[in-house]
Amino acid sequence: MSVKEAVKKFQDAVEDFSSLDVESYMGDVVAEIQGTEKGSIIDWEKLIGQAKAGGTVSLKLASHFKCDGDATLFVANGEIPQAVQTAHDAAVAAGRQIRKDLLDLFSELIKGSK
Amino acid sequence: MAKDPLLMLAGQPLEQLSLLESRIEEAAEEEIVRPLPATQEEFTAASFAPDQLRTLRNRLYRLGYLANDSERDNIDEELRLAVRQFQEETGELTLDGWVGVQTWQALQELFAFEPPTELTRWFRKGQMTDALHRAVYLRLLTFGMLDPEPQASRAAPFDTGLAKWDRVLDCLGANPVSANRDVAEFGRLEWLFDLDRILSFIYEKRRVIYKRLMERSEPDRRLIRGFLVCLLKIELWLLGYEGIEPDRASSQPLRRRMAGGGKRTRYADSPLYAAIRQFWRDQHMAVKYDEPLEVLVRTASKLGEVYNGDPSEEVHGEGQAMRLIAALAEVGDKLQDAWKQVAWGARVWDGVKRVWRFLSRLVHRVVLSITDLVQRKLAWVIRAAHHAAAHACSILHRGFRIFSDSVDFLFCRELKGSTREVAIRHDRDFDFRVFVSNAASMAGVATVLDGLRGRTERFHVVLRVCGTFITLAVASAQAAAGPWMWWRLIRTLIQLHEDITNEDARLIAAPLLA
Repeated sequence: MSVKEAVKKFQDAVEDFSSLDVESYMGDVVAEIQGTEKGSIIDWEKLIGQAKAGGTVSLKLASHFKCDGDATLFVANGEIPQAVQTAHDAAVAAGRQIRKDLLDLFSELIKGSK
Repeated sequence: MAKDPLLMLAGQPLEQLSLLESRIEEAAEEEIVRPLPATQEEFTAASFAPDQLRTLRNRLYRLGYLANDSERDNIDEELRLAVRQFQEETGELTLDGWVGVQTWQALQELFAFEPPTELTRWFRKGQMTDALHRAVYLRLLTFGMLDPEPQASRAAPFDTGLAKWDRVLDCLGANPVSANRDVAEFGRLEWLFDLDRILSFIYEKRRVIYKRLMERSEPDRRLIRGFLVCLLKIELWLLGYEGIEPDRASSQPLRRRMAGGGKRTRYADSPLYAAIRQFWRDQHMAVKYDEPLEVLVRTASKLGEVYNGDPSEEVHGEGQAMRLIAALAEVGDKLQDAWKQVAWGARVWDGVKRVWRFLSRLVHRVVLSITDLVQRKLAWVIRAAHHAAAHACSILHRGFRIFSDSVDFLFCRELKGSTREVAIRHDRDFDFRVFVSNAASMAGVATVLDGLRGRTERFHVVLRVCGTFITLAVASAQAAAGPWMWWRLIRTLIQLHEDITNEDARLIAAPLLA
């Protein structure tokens, strides 16, 4: 894929960069992904459905960041396992970095072109 | 004059990036620049200039990975296997048998005289990797420490060469003395791979070195004479002096008495001595023929002085890129022809940093204007520009591939590398959902997260490099027209070359994650 094609894909897909949400779940993920379609090891719809229904997979951490810096955090009752905390933190860091890089690219170059 | 379309896309960086990608592709088709392949599929003979492919073959042959130094300009199975073996022996490259930025950079470090060679990178558990072993062998050969053999064979008398090298360092007074055997071992290799350091040392100790050498035994003086002959052949060849090359022959006399009678003794200069005389002329000085060892020491010392002059002499606020651009602009209408005439051979890939420092000193210290410089040393200027543009272009070409790959990654809902222990998914706004299995181990989690961090970090670097490229290209488009059609692109690439750090280059060159 060339940059041109990538840019097209990018423009068609991006909806909103103004906030970031990260939700981390824990549970019997292995049981939920058995019997999935060939070629994909994870049946995401099933997983998310289970999480919403409060089944074998439950929400442990949720973070919501607004572009003005405000943050809302959700922490489930009980101890949060280290693996969940680490994965959650990494996803938050990645999400924030990707947004920042893209916004920097746009804002700096638009600023510079004026 | 019509406005550059790049300027008409102001405020639309991604469209500008697309346009610039197209321009690089067009420039590559016209052989103005030569980006290295960005993917295995691109590793075909068509991606290389014939001279560059010959340089690749020659390097692999000299390091002993190819049996013959053929001038074939195709990519065959033998070449792929040689590349693969080199990759394997480095201990850090992906074994895929193709040459992109990463493998080329590794070859540059181990083969070329172009700094830096980070030796620690090529050690594993305190031992030289096989690739470094070959590179050391080749250096010893090039400095005349081993009997000339065409290839870096592992069966060669390696230790004999290293022992001779130790004697050279001892004669010069540069022996890395250390109670720690490993430190001493590493120290002597550092000297072997750092020509700047050797020349600086000779310059700093010039008052004592010659005297010191005269006190040594005749075999020691012969050894040093041979070493200096090899060293100066390398240096002057790198600087573009004609008639010499690093041929590893260390016994060449500087002048030879001519046969025949007559009252006046006549001498024939060797090609090395002719180059030495020209070098001194370029300094607006003359070399007096005296004892050969003294001539060699004085010339090496002068080179050390030229390379390592007082940093305060540097013109403030004027980077090398801008001076190179100014020099190219001076070429005027002839630039197009001059640019296309420079072959993509070994000298475009080697010694360019020292050439440019040398040229800068000539301009600054010898009251040589840029116009004079261009007229006298046009090939040198173009060579330095070619190298800078080719490097920046290869990094960008690879960066474009990573950009596209990253967009794929960003819009692939499931993070590639997700496992049954940890699965990460994001939506179109990069909101993440993380699922961790009850059975997840910390090691399993760490592996998935390393992949996520690696991609994020690389995407960050690529966007920064692309952003700089766009900014420079826009500035170039806003500037006055240059000597020829591709001027703006060349100018942008040279400026970008100065902005790309070694760390950026390494990160961008690293293999794409599955």
